[in-house]
Amino acid sequence: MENTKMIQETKKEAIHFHPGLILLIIIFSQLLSCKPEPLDVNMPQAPEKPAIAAQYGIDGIMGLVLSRTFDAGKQIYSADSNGIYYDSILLLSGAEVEITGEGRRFVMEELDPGIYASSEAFFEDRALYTLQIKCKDGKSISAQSRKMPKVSFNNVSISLNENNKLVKINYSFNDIVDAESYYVVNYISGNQQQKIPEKPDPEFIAKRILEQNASYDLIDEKMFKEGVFTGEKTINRPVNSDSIGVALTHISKDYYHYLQAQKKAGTLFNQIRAEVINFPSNIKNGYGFFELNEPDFRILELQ
Amino acid sequence: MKTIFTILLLLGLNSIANAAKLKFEVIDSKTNEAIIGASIIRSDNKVGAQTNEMGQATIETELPASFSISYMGYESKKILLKQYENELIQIELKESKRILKEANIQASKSKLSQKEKAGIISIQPNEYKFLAIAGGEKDPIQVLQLMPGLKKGANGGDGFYVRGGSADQNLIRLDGATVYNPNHLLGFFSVFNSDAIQDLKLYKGAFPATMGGRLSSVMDIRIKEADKSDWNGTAAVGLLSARGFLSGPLIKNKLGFSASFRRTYIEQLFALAGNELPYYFQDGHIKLNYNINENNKLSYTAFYGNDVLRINREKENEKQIDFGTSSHNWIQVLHFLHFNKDFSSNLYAVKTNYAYTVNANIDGNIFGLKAEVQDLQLKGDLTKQINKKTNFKTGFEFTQHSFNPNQTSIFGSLNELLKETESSRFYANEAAFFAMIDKNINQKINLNLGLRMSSSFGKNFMYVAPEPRMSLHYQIDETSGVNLSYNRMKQYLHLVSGSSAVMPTDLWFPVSKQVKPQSSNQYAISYQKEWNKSGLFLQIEPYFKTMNNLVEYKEGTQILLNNEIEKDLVQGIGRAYGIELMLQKKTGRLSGWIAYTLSWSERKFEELNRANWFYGRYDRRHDLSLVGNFQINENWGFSSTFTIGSGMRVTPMLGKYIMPSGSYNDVIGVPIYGDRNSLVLSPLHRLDVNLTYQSKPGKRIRTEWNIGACNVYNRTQAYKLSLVKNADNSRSFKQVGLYGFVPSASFNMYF
Repeated sequence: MENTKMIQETKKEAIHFHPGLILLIIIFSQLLSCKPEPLDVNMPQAPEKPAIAAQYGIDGIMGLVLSRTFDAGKQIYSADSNGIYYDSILLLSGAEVEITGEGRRFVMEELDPGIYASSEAFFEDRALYTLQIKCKDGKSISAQSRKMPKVSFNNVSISLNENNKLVKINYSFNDIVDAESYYVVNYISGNQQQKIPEKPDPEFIAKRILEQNASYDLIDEKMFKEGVFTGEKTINRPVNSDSIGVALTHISKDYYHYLQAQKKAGTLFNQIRAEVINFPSNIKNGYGFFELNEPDFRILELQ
Repeated sequence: MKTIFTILLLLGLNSIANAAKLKFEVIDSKTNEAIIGASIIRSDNKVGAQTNEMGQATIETELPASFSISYMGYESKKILLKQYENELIQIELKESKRILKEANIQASKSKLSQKEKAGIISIQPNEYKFLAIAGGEKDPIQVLQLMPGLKKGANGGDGFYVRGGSADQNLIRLDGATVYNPNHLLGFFSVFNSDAIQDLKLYKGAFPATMGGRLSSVMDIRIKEADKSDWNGTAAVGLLSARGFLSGPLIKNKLGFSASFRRTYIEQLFALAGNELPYYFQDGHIKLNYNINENNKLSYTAFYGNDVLRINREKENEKQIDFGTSSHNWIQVLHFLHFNKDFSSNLYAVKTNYAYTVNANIDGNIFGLKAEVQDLQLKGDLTKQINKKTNFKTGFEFTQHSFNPNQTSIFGSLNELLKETESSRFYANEAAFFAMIDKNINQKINLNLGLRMSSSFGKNFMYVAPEPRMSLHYQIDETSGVNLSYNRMKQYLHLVSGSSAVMPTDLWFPVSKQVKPQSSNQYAISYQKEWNKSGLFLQIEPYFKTMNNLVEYKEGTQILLNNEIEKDLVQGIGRAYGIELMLQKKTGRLSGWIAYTLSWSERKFEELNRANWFYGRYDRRHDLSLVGNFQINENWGFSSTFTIGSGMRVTPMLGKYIMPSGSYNDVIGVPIYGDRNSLVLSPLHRLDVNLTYQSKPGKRIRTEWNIGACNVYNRTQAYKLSLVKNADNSRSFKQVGLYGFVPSASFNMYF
């Protein structure tokens, strides 16, 4: 009510003009359209370097995406009413990728251009592993990561709100005793399938911005009560799916800071209004993050 | 500390006075308004004074003596006093009718006025009424930005920056009250209607102890005293706005009233051109001046200004959108002034309020945001002429600040995703005591020494700090002098702005236990030379300033809807240095000035830019302003201003790489940034012109036509980088500006 009142207070007031003045105003209005052309800029470029995103899954499956940096002005995706498509030329194929540690060597095969995986990557908890990549153009990058012990949910449940549009997720888990206490909980609702409106829709944009920020939560040791974290999350009901994925991952402190940065500046909206941020990275001669962790992934059916 | 007090005391008491005390009052011959800041100088330059808020001044001197009385924009006067008069000596000054005549007044500058010019810029509306100013509005802040040491944002807006300080380091006071947002339309206009302004002073160095609260500058703006004898006013219609001013007696010679009002009709202009810009601003004031008796005066000032933007779309088959945002300044000042032969004193009670609201209604999803800062202030001062060479001033200020940041209200399905925040009003207090002595040590040396003890306190914190001030003027000869000054300043409030732009939605925050007060030490030396014959005036002023506890956001901070901003603040150090040059021609048909500043402004924060020094966003190496006024004949005048300076600084995005989003359901482009503020955009330059036609003077009603243009050759005033679509559908970064060529025309009527 108060909002409506405030909006009403800002209503336009009518002004009446003398006819002679209207003529002047029209001339002025036409001249006002002389908005100068934007000026070119000699934009400095970062030297092209490889970037990686690595994810350890379950049952010894390790995936890695190898890409390269690109011009900040380049549009890497196109969108139509069916969704968003990313530019595949950014991916680097033909690289030699291996992980070594604890006396073992895991070679990752290239499944698709720029996508490398291994199904036999069984890592020891708390052991230190080294990633080494030799790109086709001769560039080498490396990184080290310690395998984080897996932490599982105590319980996870979901429920729909009264109008069946929102989903509430409740969960809890225990803090790990003998390691750093940094966690990420992901909520995967399949909203990427949502159709993009043909005309700009402020509600769609607003919700998408909020969802981007709300798609995962970061938890540290200060947020535990007597060693237990109890979480509650409300997200939009998926449009084209009857299930929701929830993942709990025990992560390193450095990766926690990386995700913090992403939360602050990951979306285009945040990049416009937030302060600039330099994302942390543990890759030598490159960008991205090499992290070995093992999520507890649950799929929950909507009733 | 004891030493400073001892010096103050000794300077005040070391002279024995047996001379007569003369009490002067300087008024406008037409309106009978008191003239504040008029110079009364004994012709042999032995002694002088400036009029106070009542237009009065006391001088202790031997008689007989002749005195020269002058004030910018008025014809100067000389009087001879043969014997002591135990009554008020009233002097009427006549407003000069043309720039030409105004300029002639400047030629008879005295030593005292030269001393005052170091680190201080003083202007009256008469000085700039014919200048080419953006949008045809006679905007005093835009005139100030043409002076050395001041830098403006790329589009006239974005605040202004003084000697390497940030926008929040400028205190702007209207009749003694703080103006938290001095801008309309993102800074294209200021909130000050020139018709209502008596005078404006900007202190950027040589701060007297009476001034404080910000590191870089204090701008003191006085609204005209109401005319208590006759009605007069101004009415003006321009392409962008209409305004009016009226002043006159409610009780003749006792109670005067003045009021002004201004409103834009930009939204109507855009609508006529088939475009939509549902925006307007308006402002106005009321002032009452009451002469209680010869020695006591009371005045009340109320000022209100607001900006309103409202978009309302209701179309079939489309979502209903109703978006509104507004901001307002609301100021009230009650001022009591007492004056007698022994001392004068002021007492102010001030209430200010600045707030902005944002409201959006999208198909029943309602979002509301409100933020507010409110001050209650009590302050007073006492000035006493201890002897004919020494003036002493002391006083106090107490302010209670009340803050209510980011209060949100949400209705609809957004309520589940975005949490409402209740009012979280909190308070902080500021108090200051000051003492200052101004002494003519001999005919060549004047010393101004002061101490300001400032403090801020609130829940869980208290800060107290001494702020010593010193200004020494040495008169080399009749036409040249040197000024040395040192100031320490403290600042207990911060406008926490993003690194890319200063926005009306930026929040003011006080110091706290975690966030320490900002401080600065500034050293300046100034040389001034005047050539009476040619009317030229030269000033060269190098300065060096160090700053501590400067405030910035942590990397990646979300500014909007952030209720824990204090946790996202970091503090660091800074330094600013440079040299300012001003060459002014005050006489002849062609008058104007050249102002050039060469300057550096650097900062260092442990948490930013990998702990390396970086240039401030407002670091602009070169800044040049050329201002010219040409009086074609009695009726016609032409003016132009050309400004050129180094471009704005931005942090460049050097590249990107792709990474999965935290939810693994999307891919994001992670930006790679270069050093903070390391990219300098293209130089800013533009030409503004104005042609004025005035009706013949001497009539009861005078008229004036102005026609002009801003940014004549339509140069992009680059203020940021944006991704722009090229003809081949590719995208690249370009430097963009807000506006280009803007014509202006206005009709003014004075009665």
